[in-house]
Amino acid sequence: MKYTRENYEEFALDYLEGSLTPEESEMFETFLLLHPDIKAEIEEFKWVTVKPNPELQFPDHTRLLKNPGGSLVSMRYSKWMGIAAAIMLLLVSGVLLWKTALPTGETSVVVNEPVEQPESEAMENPATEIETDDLTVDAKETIAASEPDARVSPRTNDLAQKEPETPNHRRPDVNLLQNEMSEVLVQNEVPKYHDSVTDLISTQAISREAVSVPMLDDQAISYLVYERPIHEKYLPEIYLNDQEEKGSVARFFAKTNFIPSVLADLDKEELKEKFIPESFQSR
Amino acid sequence: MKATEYNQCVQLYADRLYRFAHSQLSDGMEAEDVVQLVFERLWKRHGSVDFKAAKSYLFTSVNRACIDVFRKRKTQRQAAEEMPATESMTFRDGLEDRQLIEEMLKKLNDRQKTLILLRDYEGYSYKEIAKLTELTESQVKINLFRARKKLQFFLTGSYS
Repeated sequence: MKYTRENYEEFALDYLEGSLTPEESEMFETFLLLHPDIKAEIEEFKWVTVKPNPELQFPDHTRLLKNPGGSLVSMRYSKWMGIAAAIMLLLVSGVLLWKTALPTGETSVVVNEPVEQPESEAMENPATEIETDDLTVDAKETIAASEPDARVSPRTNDLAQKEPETPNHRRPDVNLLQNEMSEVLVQNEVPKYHDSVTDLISTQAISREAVSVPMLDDQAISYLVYERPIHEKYLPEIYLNDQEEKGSVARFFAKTNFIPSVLADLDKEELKEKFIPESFQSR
Repeated sequence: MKATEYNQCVQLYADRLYRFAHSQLSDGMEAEDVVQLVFERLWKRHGSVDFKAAKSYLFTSVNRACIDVFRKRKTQRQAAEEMPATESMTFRDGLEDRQLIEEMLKKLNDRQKTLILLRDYEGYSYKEIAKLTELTESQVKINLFRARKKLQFFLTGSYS
């Protein structure tokens, strides 16, 4: 390939990224020597990359989702669930109201007209009272049973939020880096794009439901990250660089709930072979 | 592709496509329309589109839809006999990064913007970008090189 003033731009990025063969690279450098202006241009080139804004999200995914055949069933289901919940609520609140009225005894009958009817019934028939006590216990149990449920989601949320902080190997300055991170990055270094990994991740990575930090050990993670295989698109707030690789990736995994099952299935050697450039393997 | 896979595509790509379209068009409403349109098309064709090919199908479609929007805007502008606005750009200290990016992207032409977004947001290879945008690989590389130089200039005030 003969490099000329007309065609050098086509190869400039390849040269800067180190994708030219050694021979091509040498020829390109010879060309640069002959053209000092272009040499300066290449030497002073800085990588400016643009990061996506993670806050920008499609407003309503449900508008796009399709649920053929299933919608009617689920609507019915939720409708009946709603009715059942309403009945349950009425029942529970009615019983509670009744129960709160009960201990005040006969006087409350006068004061509180709405509960007069059931209470008089209860007084007429002690068996009913026992039954209502049972009911109240049931209701209490129902409430008690529902409480842990109510706590589950905040707790899992907490977990999800805490997880990014938990990895022991995280550097203390990662937060700082995150906060100070400019969205536009100017580097002298070549950003690496590792298509095999990004493709792998993009096709099967991000599961929003499951929370699981990967089954990879630190070594494997650092292998994975060293060459920045995971592009910053998956790390909206974090740009991987050689100083903070482990922390970022752990956080990335936790953040995106990414389960690299495919990666976990591979053994380290295989992983290395597949995703780590030879240049790094030799180090 | 099954319906469940289609829905998976929505979860996986809707936000990313939206960001891509939003950055291209600098308009949330239009970006929303574009993404919705593209998913509607995918749904109509979901029987014949393979799940593995869905991502590039979606990005190609969004890119085309954005080009359509540009064309429409251009004709509207011509009809209104408006000159394209040429704003002078000064970067103040402490300018928000987001604004900075938007300003920067505005300085790129449509093609350069598309390429930068595909590369930086989505991490596509030159070859894949060429396929998605129906350009040759060398066109992609030349345009990206120029685009990066432009970005460098806007950001650092110096062309190399």
